[in-house]
Amino acid sequence: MSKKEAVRSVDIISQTEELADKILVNKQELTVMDKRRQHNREALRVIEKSEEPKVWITVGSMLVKMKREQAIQLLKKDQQQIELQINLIYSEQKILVNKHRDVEFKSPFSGTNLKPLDRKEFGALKANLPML
Amino acid sequence: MGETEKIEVRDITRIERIGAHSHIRGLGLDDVLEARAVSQGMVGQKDARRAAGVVVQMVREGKIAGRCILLAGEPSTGKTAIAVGMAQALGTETPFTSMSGSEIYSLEMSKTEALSQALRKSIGVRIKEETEIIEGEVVEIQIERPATGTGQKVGKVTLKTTEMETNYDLGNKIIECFMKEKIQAGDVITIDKASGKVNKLGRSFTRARDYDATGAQTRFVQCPEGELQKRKEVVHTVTLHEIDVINSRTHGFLALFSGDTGEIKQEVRDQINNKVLEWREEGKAEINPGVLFIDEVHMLDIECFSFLNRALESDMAPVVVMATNRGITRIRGTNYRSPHGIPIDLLDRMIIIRTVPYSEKEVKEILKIRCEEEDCIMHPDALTILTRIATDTSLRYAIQLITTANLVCRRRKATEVNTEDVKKVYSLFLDENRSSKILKEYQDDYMFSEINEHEEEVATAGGGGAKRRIDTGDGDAQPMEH
Repeated sequence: MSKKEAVRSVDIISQTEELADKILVNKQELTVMDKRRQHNREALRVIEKSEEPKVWITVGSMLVKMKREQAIQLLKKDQQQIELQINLIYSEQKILVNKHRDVEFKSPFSGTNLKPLDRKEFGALKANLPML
Repeated sequence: MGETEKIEVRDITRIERIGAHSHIRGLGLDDVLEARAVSQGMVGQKDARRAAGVVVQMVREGKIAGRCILLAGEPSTGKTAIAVGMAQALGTETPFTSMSGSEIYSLEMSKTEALSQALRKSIGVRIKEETEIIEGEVVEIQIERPATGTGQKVGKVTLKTTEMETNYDLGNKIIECFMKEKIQAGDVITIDKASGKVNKLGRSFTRARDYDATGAQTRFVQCPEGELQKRKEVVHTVTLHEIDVINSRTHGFLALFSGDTGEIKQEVRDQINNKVLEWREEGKAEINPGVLFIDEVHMLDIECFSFLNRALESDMAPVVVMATNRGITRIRGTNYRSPHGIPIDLLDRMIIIRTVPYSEKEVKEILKIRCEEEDCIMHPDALTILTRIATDTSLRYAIQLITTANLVCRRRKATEVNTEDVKKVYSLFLDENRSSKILKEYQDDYMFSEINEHEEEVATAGGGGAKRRIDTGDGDAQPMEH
């Protein structure tokens, strides 16, 4: 293998490894985000069920005592943020995976640009074509 | 993230019956679409294979609709083999419908309906389904029934994955789903967030030793990884024909299996076309035109050809590949003769790929591949004799001799087929030439011998007013005229 080809192979390998690394990091991110989401959800349920006017809530690594309504507002806002983040990560993942396949000279996986069908439309199809 | 990667799993232990073209795995082209001499089950026929490779590229790009390709060549030159190779090369994603020309003559539906259905079966529509699901292993379930006996049940379930754990409060409806599926601690389940359906995937491996005996249907799966609430995206391909059938009958999918679709009205088809185009505009669907392969296309009649002329001009038309081995012969349904039995206006719209007869070396390679496929070990001398037989008689006859020689060899308790076996089978089974020669010699001894009657007819023709019987075998047996 000549020098140019060796350099090119190293180039391709480093690109794929970089992209693969980013993809795996994103996967971890998703897990962390989901953990936060679930904890928020549990907290919301507990606060909504309880009657106390003031509740203890963890913000970062501090324990803070707040009014019930404020705590609920805070948690809901946090949930929205997390949802946005997660959607962002999903779209990033799709782009990264396609780029990774592109660098490996594979075609991008089919259906990348499709928007999903409505639940009713897909439900109608699925009801009539049990193989779907 | 989701099941967006397509994983192909092939069952290696599946036993298939060996067919005439089961040894073909693809077209055997390299990256620049040049045909390798022996590759993926295809041998020789380089020009035709390169042309077929170009057609496969054309279909993959998907932007060209309604092209027609004709594979024409002498019998036993690999036309159907190339079509099978194309089907394999396109993969499982592109719809590939294969039919024979005579299949359209059915009592249940008219010829044009059969053709329309075949054309619509070759166009795929890609759609995507997206759901949020919660997938995890059940750690514990707590259900509280009200003491009064009538009232809402409440419950709590704790789910975990390898990296996190959380609990959910359950309402009455979903508790009933849980109880219906008989979910206990240690089961791996998925809950569809939108519809609330609960699905049991199996039992976790870590709980396999809980009981000494489990039911016969117990499946063990791994504990899920990553996040609990995932987004699942699945891409499906349906064909236009399937959508037609759903919309033309109330119990559409039963019709799909029984084949009893009847005639589908054109208005239904137009509505479907509009809907699919609408989805395409909104970005919800992609049209994936595939290939319709019509073998023995000279069996179609003039009405079908006229229909095809028009149908190929619609923008929802697949690529049609046809194959025939007829020369200049009568178009079915008329008395006119035309090349390949296809009217000239349709021939004008086609690109024609020629297949040529194989050389002796190529025949030897093909026989070697078939020997491997049919699990038969052959001595090189036996292979040489078989090649000679193939070039003298026909390739198909030699392929038939392979398995029969194998059986003869096994009967004498040997593993390798040698020349004696081949000679024995050659004498046992006649090929077409020898059979016709024997017929001509002993025609008087056979019942209803045609040649006999024909001579009588010629004798009485001099008397005038004799019926001229259309000899149907004549035009069809002609070899290719250059």
